Amino acid sequence: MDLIIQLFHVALVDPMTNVLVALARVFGGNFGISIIVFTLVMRFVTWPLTASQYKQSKKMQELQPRLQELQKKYKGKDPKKLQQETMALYKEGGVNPVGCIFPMLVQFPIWIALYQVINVTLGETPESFVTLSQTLYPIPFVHEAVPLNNRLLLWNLGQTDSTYILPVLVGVSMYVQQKLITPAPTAAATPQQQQQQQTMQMMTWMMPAMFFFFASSAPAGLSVYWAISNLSGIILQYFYMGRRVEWKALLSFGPPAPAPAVKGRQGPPQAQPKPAEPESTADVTASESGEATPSQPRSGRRNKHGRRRGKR
Amino acid sequence: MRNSPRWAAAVVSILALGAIAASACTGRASPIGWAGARPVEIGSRDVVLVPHKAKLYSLKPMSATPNWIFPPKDKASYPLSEDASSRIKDLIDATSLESTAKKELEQRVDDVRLAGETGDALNDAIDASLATPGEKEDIQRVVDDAVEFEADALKNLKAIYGDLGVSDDGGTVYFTTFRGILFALDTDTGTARWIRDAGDQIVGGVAVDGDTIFFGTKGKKLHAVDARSGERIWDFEAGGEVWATPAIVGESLYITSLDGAVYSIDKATGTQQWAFTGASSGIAASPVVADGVLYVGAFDNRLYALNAADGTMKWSIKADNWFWAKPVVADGIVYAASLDGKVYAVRADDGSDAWAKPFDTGAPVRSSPVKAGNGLVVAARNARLYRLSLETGEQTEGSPLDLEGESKVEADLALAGGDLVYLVPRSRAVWIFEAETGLRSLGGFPLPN
Repeated sequence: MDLIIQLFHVALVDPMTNVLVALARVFGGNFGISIIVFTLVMRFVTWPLTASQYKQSKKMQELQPRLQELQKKYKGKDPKKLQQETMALYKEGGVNPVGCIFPMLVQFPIWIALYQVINVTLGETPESFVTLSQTLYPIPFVHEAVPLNNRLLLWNLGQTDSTYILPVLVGVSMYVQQKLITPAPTAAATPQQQQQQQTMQMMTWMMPAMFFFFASSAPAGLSVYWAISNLSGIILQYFYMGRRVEWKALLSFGPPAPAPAVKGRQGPPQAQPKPAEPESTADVTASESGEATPSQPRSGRRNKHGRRRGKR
Repeated sequence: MRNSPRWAAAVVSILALGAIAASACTGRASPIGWAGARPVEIGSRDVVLVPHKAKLYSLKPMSATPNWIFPPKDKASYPLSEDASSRIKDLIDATSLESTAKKELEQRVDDVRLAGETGDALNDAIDASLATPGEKEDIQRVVDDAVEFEADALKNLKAIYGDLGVSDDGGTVYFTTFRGILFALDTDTGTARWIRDAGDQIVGGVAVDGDTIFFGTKGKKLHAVDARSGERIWDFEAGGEVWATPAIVGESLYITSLDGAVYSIDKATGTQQWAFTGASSGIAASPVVADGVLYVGAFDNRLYALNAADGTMKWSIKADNWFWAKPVVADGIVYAASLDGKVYAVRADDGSDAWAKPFDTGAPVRSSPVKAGNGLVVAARNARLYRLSLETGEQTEGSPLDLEGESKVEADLALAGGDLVYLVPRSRAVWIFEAETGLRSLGGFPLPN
């Protein structure tokens, strides 16, 4: 455990501390600007992962009809075969089932490291300064940057935000981002898939709520990172999706609309392309952007409880 | 099983992330405190004042036997400060009561303690004695406010970092707390003469000059306060937080600030005489003035020598990390320890090396060293104590003393009687060493809880 923590510090916390302190010096000693610039750089660096996440999400949607076919074919009969066929389908479609969570996993150590960087760099106790002196590389440019300006607008970045503006901003921006990225449910979802979809929809609430509480107790500097990261993510998503976002869908607090939040780039989602393989488009129409759309009328569809689902 | 390595990697990654997350859950570091000990002579009696974290101990010399501990465990036995009692008595004295009734009430003022019913008992007695509603309510409010403020001040000191200030007669000790409260205690009994809220957190210590004391705050202020009453005389606003203890020489007061400046201030009026702004980083170390030259280390890894008269720089030397410890000046040589773990000795005249090479302790040095006999005693942060030859910088004992059971030492060393060195580590103990001719441990004494 100690070795892991030590490695974590040497590989991530210490370099991040030095980079952030150096950035702060570049920007007049202001650690807040340093965090914002760092966040945007991280967004840029992790963009291939983020883009891959979007693509994976779309590909998964495209494969849904064929997966359902496989489930119909093998479920309860030959689970092993079902697993093999599913994996083969993923391979064929170029989908990594856990690929979507990789960007999140990459972010996780950065959050923890940033939390520790802020505690050391903006710590208000003399002991934290001594720790900082041992964390900075022997480069005059970073050594001479201390003390840092820990203020950004209203906030002391080393302390929790008592105004709750940042936690709310983090929660709301994460909700918007989650809503934009969460795919709409397919029309012919099996009960298992419906459960998965409900879980995903629940996550659109759970994650923002959790991050609201994290941001309420974390130093404001970390909240700034989350807020800027989310807001820049929303902007990137907006442009990635061809500037076509169903903003109204953000206000649907119940079960989601079955139609995609994003329309295809080269035609309306209602367009019915010719099925390449009959079984792959039996129930769902895939738009150009990869979003799956139900082939049956959208409004008036009812879920298994008989309630009307997300009228658009 | 083809995916086993991938899943194993995932499990290991999750465990590693969990371990790292657990390390992050330790939360923010609380202030600990690193004030050094202070030997004091009260009349013919010697005591050693030992601050540790958020407590101040008065100990009998060469022991950990306490004369008193502040704040006391039992606040019900701790009286109201002399200052608050005096103010209440003055109000009672100004009433139209007969002298006997006044004396009775004043006796009750002396009985007031910071916990329990004694404050209420005094207010009941005031209620019963005085007929004029406005008059008695005014006094009762003063009683309530004083008891509430002082009880709260004792409740959470947070930490003591700054040097203790002691009056010329040794009768009063002044100290600051990280929470921002300034205390003046009777050195003999540990009872409060007065207690004041500075309004900002405080790291630096107290400098005493006759009837005036000086201290800086994280609120960028330097305060001059009447040592007898605790009343403010003047404030000086620096460009950054003031973490150091001021140095007083003649009519001038010298302070450093985290804005990287050294200020010279007229101690009578609080007006600035000069400011040195040549450091490229903050300064948290306390300055030392000797023979008209001010020596101070900074976070830009430099030790500066400035002309105390006008603030012009004589010379500076560079280390590999910050200077935080207070330098020692003796016989024309300046000795300064750095957080790079090295002890530098340079000639006061021109900053040239006095030793063949700096002495490397191998661990950061935050504690200010002391000169004992012909040696320089240095405590490294990793709880190792060195005695170096003033002439050569080599260890006089051949090897350092390991403070067994101690993990960190950051407090300044204190010299008593020219030969004894007191060291306060992070753990609740005080170590005493004989250091005039060699370096011999007289033991580590656990402080009472």
